[in-house]
Amino acid sequence: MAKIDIFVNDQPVSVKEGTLLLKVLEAQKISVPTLCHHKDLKPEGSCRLCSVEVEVDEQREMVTSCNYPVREPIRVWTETETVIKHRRMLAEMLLGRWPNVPAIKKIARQCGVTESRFTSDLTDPNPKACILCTHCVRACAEFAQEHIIDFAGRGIKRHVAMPFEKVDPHCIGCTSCAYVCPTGALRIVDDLNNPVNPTLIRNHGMKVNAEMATLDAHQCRMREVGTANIVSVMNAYDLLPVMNYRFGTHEEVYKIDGGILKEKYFTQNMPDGCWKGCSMACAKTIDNFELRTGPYKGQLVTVDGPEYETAGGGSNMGLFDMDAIAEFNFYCDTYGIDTISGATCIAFVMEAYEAGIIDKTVTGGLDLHFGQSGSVLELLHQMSRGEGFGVDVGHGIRWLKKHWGETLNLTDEQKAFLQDIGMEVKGLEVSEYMCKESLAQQLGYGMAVKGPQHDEAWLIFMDMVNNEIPTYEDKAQALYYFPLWRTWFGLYGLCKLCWNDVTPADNKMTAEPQKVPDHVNNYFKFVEGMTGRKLNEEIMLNESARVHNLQRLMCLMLGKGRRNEDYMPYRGIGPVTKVEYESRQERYDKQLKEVLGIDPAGKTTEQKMALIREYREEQYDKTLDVVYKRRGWDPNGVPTVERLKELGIDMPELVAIVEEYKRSL
Amino acid sequence: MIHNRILEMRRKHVVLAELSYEPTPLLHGYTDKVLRVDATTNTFRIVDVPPTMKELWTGGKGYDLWLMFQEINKNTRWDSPENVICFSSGPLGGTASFPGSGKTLCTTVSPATGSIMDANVGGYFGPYLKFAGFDALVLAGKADEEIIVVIDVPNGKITIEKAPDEAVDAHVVCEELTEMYADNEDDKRNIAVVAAGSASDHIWMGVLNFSFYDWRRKVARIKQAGRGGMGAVFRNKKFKALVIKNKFFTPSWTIAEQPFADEFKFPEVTPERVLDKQGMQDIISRWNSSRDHVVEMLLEAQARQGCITRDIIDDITNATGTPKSHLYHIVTFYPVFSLTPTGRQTVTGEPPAGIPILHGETILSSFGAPDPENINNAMKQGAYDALAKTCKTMTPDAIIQAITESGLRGRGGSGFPTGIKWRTAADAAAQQKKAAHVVCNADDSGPGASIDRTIIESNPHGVIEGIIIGARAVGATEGHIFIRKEYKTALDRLEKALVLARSKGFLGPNILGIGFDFDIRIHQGAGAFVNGEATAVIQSMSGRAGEPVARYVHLTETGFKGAPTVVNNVETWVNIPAIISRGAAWFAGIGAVDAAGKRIGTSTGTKVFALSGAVNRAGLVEVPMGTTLRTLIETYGGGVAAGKRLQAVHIGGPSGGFLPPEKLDMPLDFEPMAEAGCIMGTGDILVIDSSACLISLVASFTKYLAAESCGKCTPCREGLQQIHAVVQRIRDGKGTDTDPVFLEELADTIRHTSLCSFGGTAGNPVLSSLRYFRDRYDKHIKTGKCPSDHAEVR
Ligand code: SF4
Ligand code: SF4
Ligand code: SF4
Ligand code: FES
Repeated sequence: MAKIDIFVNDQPVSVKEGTLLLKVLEAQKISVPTLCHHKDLKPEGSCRLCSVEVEVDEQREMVTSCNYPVREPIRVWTETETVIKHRRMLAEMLLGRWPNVPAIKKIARQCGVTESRFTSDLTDPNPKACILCTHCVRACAEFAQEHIIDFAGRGIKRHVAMPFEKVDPHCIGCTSCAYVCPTGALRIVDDLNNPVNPTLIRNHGMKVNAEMATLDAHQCRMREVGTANIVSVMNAYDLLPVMNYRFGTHEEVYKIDGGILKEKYFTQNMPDGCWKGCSMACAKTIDNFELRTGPYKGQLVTVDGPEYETAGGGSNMGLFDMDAIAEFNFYCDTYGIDTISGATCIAFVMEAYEAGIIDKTVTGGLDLHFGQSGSVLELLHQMSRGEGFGVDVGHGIRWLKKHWGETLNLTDEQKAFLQDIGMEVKGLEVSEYMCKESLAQQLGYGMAVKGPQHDEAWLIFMDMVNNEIPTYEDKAQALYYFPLWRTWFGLYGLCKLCWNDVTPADNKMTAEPQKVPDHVNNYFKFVEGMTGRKLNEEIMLNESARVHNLQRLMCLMLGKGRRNEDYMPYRGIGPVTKVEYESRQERYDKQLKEVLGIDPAGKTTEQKMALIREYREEQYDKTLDVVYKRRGWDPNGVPTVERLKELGIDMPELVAIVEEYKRSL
Repeated sequence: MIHNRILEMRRKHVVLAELSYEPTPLLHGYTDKVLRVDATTNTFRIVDVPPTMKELWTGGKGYDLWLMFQEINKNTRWDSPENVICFSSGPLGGTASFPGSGKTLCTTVSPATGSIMDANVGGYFGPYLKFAGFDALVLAGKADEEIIVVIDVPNGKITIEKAPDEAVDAHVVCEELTEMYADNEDDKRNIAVVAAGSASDHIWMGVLNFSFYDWRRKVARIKQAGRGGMGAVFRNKKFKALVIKNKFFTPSWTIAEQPFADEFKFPEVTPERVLDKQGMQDIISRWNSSRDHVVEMLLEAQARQGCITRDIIDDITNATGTPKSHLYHIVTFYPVFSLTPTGRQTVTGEPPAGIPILHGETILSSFGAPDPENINNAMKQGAYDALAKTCKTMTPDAIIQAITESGLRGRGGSGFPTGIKWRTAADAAAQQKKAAHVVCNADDSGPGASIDRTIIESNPHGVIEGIIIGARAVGATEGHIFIRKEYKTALDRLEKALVLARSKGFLGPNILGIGFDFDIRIHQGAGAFVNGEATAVIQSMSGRAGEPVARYVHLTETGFKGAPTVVNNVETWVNIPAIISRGAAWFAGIGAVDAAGKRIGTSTGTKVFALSGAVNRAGLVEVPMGTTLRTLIETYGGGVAAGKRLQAVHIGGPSGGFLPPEKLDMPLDFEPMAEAGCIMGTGDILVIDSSACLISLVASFTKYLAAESCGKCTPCREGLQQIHAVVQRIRDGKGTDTDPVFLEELADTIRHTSLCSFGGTAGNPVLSSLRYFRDRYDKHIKTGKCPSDHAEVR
């Protein structure tokens, strides 16, 4: 943005166009009294204390600096006789009305006023009186988006109120209003959990609320489009799963991204939290959506979503049609179908169909080319009715591979192909990230205890978009730390999105931005405020590791949870087909040359693919070893008894599981 | 109100097991209790959480897994009866003061992986489980018939019930159960449901849906514990749903009392309902359930019910999505509303009809037709000719060019050049690729103000035509006329005129066949002097109280709904057709001249004034800009009334200024008036004879102004209050020597620091009277008496 040269008290200053004048003054260390201004709220310009003189086009006028955007070369004076005179008068007015409120006394002092000529029968001696600073009303609207409180009355009778001066039961008790109140006039405590120190919780929670109010619109836009904001980001970084993860980008993505959701689908400016007080408000909906198929055809319904995973599932199935995705979303939800497993499995079926491995005799007549939204929806309806090919699909990729292997006459090559392209690990379908180029995410998926869901290790963003874990060691460390950190949220009932889908303005300057240290600290304080226990990273990691290892042991008990279950299908690691290789030939050739030291010239695509595959699978294996070790697991991915001891969970029933496994070897 | 269908469903329930219990209160995020429900044996168990469990496994998923570990063995498969589904939120769950603290964690043995599955999910179930007294819930066993589990906190009981008739699909069953267990609409958000869905009966990738009631949208929303087939396990166990009914909780919100709090205390008795629900719905539908028209809905409701009740506010909120707090602000902002049947003020009727027209030139000349909205008559007199001309022969640019050349300045405020305003808006609209909005402000009026109203009453088509031309010039597709409801005649005529204009194709799609789409809707105002402020008008048209907004970015850049917006007053709009028809040069040529034939002042065209007070003839006068006050009074008003001596003239309405007789030769034009300390304002000119107490007059203005201040900004809110107090005490003979200086300083600060031009001008009566009539103040203070002819201090 353009810079503008202005003068402040006759000193030249260069500022970015549109900067609010008060910000300029603050940066110049010039103090101006303020009352309605609040750093985390939009400017209001109602107290008028911050008035200064500005000269534009040779005309001098008083303006309020808190909401005055610098858009032309102006001259500003902050301490002229006029400014001082008016400031003092304003201070007198306030002091006359609220003589004992410390915040007002401070302003008066700042303006050089000690006495007021404004005493009247409206003078309110209460030191905790409401001084009409407007912070609370704005916080309720901007932090919480709830609009539960507003002003009432006109003129001198203006006051803060809930309707009919009664507590509105719709108030969610988020305490944002009390947090920003400078006088203590307004009080509310969030004590449903009966915490040790509600103020400590609030003070840290409100930091995040303030970030949501001020930064989200410039960061992830969670409030506008929810998690779907990353559809276009993933597409830009070649990470969006397209047509069964073959590709990472598609030219028609604009038809299913956050832009169109905001413009045409999602109802805006609603406090859409899935729990009270969540200022991230990412639980977006499409309201009054008319269904075009199925038993509820013609009805206007509220669609909860689509979230990123569902939109990404859409591109994975080749659906670049938001109406179809919305309908898919709705029916999956109401029928109780996992949109992720559903989409990933259907994408797999579609690729098998296009590859000629299955045909209409298998699909019950459905055309399952990529992008066939009618067939996709019909599959869902079949799942609901419990009939047809849909029911097979509803059993998932692993089941289908086995079933087809048993019932169709498949060649070994076809079987191997299905193994490669069937994006499941442990029997669970992979969630919607195309992770071929992100070793960290491949392992994040492969090693996730329950199966390839990103909630345990969503590393793709820090690996590929933010480039925060560039080295091999970084990735291995990330695969130790983040699954534990992410598991931690699950121990406390917390949502992970508020941790890193908004970050403090200065997060990038911290030593480990990928951890969002300030937010980690907020969470530790949250625990302390609730339970009285003080946390640090070590305690946190141990808390998590106990649960993480317990889960792994329970899997082991059920005969699972070992190394052979921690592998990604090759589609998630590298190009399975020629078209995949060739679509990114430059990248792969470069890797051959620079990483493997092999000249790609003169080699066939098949040869090059084989070389890449060998290299990548080896990398995967190597990393697996390193991370197992870091986690205190044996090379087969089984927690060692020493690790259990270290964590204090070496109780006999858990050790017995390890012992039994050892015996079985 | 519960539907019969739902009641019927509920009657089919058979309670298989019931447990009365006392919910354990939360301490530091924990209840230290776990609920185990066994569907095979239809039994409940409430188990204590041992300290080591808490220490080692913390809560949430840790609890789930540990509890599960106690239940399953190495042979457990997803569909084994000993498989369980565990639910737990965790010690921080259910916090509202830290965002993102309401997840439920679930675990089970998965059909897809045959291994341990976990999922986290939003919705209210997990937190409500805690508030119901349980850190975790274990679902065990398998039922043989469709069952639901209900945890009813207010009634302290937990039941397993056969529920044969409820749907399986989540969006239906969640609605059904929410309605079934809620006592009323408000109570619905205390219900949380867990359900799967019909496909979960047949497939392995079934999810669990967790509901929460969205009171704004009036739907039970659903979030999913999606991965690994938990829904399949749930259905395999024959669970149809889990329900928690939580207690109402009213937040402990309090605010410090205010000195005038008593005024806002309302009796508990609900006023008898005159306006029934249907009646209210009709009103709301008439205004298209639009947030832009909540003021109108409230006005109609007030007229019908005699006051605004909670029901009325709730109904409007439900239909329009306008927050209740905003509606409450509106009804406490305008005196026409009252909250109790007795009423703080009664509804004001229509003010007396317009005063006579003494002289017209261009605008007022067409007045006096018997039925002014009759479009055929109007067209015979040339109405809509200008529109036709612009449509046929002028580009939008050319229109703006013509208006610029005419020199037309906004009649309402400080005289901003209309052409420039339009140009800025047109450019902004083009740049932002947005349709602009045009607004005609017809609320610009003080007590008894009559000019705008009279113009509309006598020439509604002229105003409409002006707006249409302006709309095309700036690229607007929507126009708005903002007028107070109490101007019934004007409103009626406008409404009729709009219908007729539409019928002739002057409004609506493809106007005059040139592909120009535009229409005008009327917004009724509840009446406030501060609605002369353009930003206040926009607020009022957007479902907010009519308070001005502090801004340095003009409405012409971002106004109504964020789009570039032109706001002009009635008199400005009505000038447009004439300028187009007769040419910019003609308009620019209008202006008073001195004896030597030289133009006085710089403004062009005419201006209408409303002359009243101690003159021989009172009424509306339209004169060329620059005409002197003397000409106005003497030529058109017939001079000062017989036997009276001129003391002062007050110009511009409540926030106008007093002028002494020496100023009679002041030309009526923006700059000279500003210099003299008065404003165009409402165009009211009040001639004051020597019998009046000037200070009393000032006091009547300051009283009015103090009451009309919206209260948003400090100087106007606090300052005017004080100004009035001081003027009053001077009037009452109790003033002190320092008072005049204090008044002057105070008025000066209000003028220079106020947020809007209401405050910017509100000091005028005091400042101008101090400037020209200081002696009146001094005499009041020194002698305690009024120096006017009436001799006595009131
Ligand atoms: S607690 Fe939250 S919802 Fe309630 S009034 Fe305060 S800010 Fe608004
Ligand atoms: S209650 Fe507090 S925050 Fe709200 S306006 Fe009053 S002083 Fe400001
Ligand atoms: S100047 Fe007066 S009317 Fe204008 S915003 Fe301030 S208080 Fe309201
Ligand atoms: S701080 Fe700028 S007007 Fe209040």
